[in-house]
Amino acid sequence: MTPNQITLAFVFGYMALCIAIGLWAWKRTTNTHDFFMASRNLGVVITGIALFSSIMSGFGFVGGPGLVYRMGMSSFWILVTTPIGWAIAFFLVAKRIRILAELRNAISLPDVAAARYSSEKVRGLVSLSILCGVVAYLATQIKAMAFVLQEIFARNEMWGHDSIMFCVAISSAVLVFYCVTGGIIASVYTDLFQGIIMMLVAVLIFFTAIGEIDGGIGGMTHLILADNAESAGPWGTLGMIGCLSWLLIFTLGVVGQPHVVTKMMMSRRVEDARLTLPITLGGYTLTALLWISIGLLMRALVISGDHAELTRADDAAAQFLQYYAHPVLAGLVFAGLFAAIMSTADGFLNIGAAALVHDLPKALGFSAPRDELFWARIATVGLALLAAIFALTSPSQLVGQLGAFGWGVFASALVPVIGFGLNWRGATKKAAAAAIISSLLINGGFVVYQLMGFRIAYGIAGGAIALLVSTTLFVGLSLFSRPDPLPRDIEEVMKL
Amino acid sequence: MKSYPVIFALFIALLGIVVTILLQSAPGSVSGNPHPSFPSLSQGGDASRHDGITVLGWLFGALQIILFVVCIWVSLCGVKAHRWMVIVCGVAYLFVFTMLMITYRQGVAEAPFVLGFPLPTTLLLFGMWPMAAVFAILYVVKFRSWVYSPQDQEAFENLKAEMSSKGGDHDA
Repeated sequence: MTPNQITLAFVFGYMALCIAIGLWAWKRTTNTHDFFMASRNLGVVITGIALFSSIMSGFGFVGGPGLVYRMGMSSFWILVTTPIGWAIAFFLVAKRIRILAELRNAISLPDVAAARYSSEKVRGLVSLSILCGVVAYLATQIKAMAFVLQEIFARNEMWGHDSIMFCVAISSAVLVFYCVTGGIIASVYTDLFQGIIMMLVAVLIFFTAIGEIDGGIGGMTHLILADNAESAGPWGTLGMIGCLSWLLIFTLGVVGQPHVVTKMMMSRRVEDARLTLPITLGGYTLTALLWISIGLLMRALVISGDHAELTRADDAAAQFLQYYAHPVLAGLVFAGLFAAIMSTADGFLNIGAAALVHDLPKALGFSAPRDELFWARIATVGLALLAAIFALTSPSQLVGQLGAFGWGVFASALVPVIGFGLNWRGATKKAAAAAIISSLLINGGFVVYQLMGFRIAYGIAGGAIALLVSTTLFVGLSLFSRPDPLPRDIEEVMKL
Repeated sequence: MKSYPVIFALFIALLGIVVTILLQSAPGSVSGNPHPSFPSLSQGGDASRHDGITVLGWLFGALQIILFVVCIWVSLCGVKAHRWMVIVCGVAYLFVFTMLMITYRQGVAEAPFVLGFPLPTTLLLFGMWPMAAVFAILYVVKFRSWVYSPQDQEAFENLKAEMSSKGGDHDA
């Protein structure tokens, strides 16, 4: 078998596994409680692995190494924020969101927000921010899946098929199939396999990469430093202020990612959070090895003239796999890459469908549709189609901005509303509304600003500015207004 | 400590720092320049690109670390025993970050190599990363006394029973 055939075999094998999981989960999905919340019955290991694999999308396999290749050590600031970001998310959110979800039978994050603030307006705004972020994120994930498949097919003598539309169709079809049939149950169990594959390949890749240069990591760094000391320094080429803005947005931002905090609602017991956190952290730390090692190696090899310069920074992982990895390892990594992208996309599809079918009708004063499960499945297909069309018809520059937009919207809207709101009796619904509206406006404004060719000075992340503004508004408005009355059960939850 | 006025003050201060930084004219290489030989790479110029903003940068990072500690602090309302550990960990985290800034200003090219990286980068990867993980360890070790005590568990069970017995529509 040629290396390309091995890769195709692993990728198709993983797709077949996803379909099988979808069919298995279909039998276990009989209502929206199953479809959106996995009946609140997830164990510690599966929750822990699903959490980190939701966050570690294709970015961890492709974008991350690409950033290290291009900028040196700058993106390490995204990695080092992870332990404290996860810790803050668990301290602030995990316990109360799980308790509130059970008390109020919540099946979505807007459900939790509506219960906390006794406000359908807040539910509606949270739903809107989720939908905006979900479509943006989904578009980037679908495009990433299609590019990877296109790359694989183009090298295959038998297929030689490189139509992007064809690749979008194939990859989206598998994704939509298991999301529609199995909902979040299919999503978390595919996350489980994805997480295991990612951890395994990250360790194998790390040891493969460090063996390619004399001196291993130190050898790579010496080469990079000799070319340009700043790129080997703690700020990389992005610079101090840009890196510190990443510290802010990626640390606190974890608290506001709906595909993360929604999974905290699904654990079997409140006390499971204690062991879920170290599993999540351990998994994320292992997969970060791939991000660091591939990026450093490819930058060092290009600088030393031992590898041709890459056309695009995001080709770092693909080039490494083609030239330096054993074909079986390369095949496994490509499958892992697919798994990473799909595991993030399926979580977004699920929460987006909940926002569309379960939450927006309630926020607008209508009751949920009678056959909510049926409409949830329709909404899943619709969202995937919308994101796919958006990804195919939008300019690449826009799609590139959308991932940052998605993270930024979630962070700046939901960190104050959910992160602080679940801990602070004094947080008001007006403050929550102000935070979400400012988040959408500022993040959207930055997308337009950057599409017009402007850049924020010092490389400051727009999402970080949005987070600062929205949270300042939230805390300030709440401090200077009278607390809203709360239902008794919410009062008691706030005391726990 | 009145936590939310402190959080408000921290966010105002952080916003103020960002605005102050944005009002300064950015040197050309502050966010990197294209590599002269390899256009797909960028280079960072030299350390002088951060002249004039180093103190602001330290403040930006230090206030964030204080904010992270306060975020954990506010989640522990009602906890009396050993909450000081969070402060101690925060001080240690701040110390590592400050040492990173100091060693960076002494020069990356001149810095000794430790664990495969120049010292300032080593402090980032092997100092700040594991230091932050200590907070996660605190969560695991102190879970039953800080986060979800047996008394909390009993209160939750009682609340569930009370809400069930009241009946009615409590669905979100």
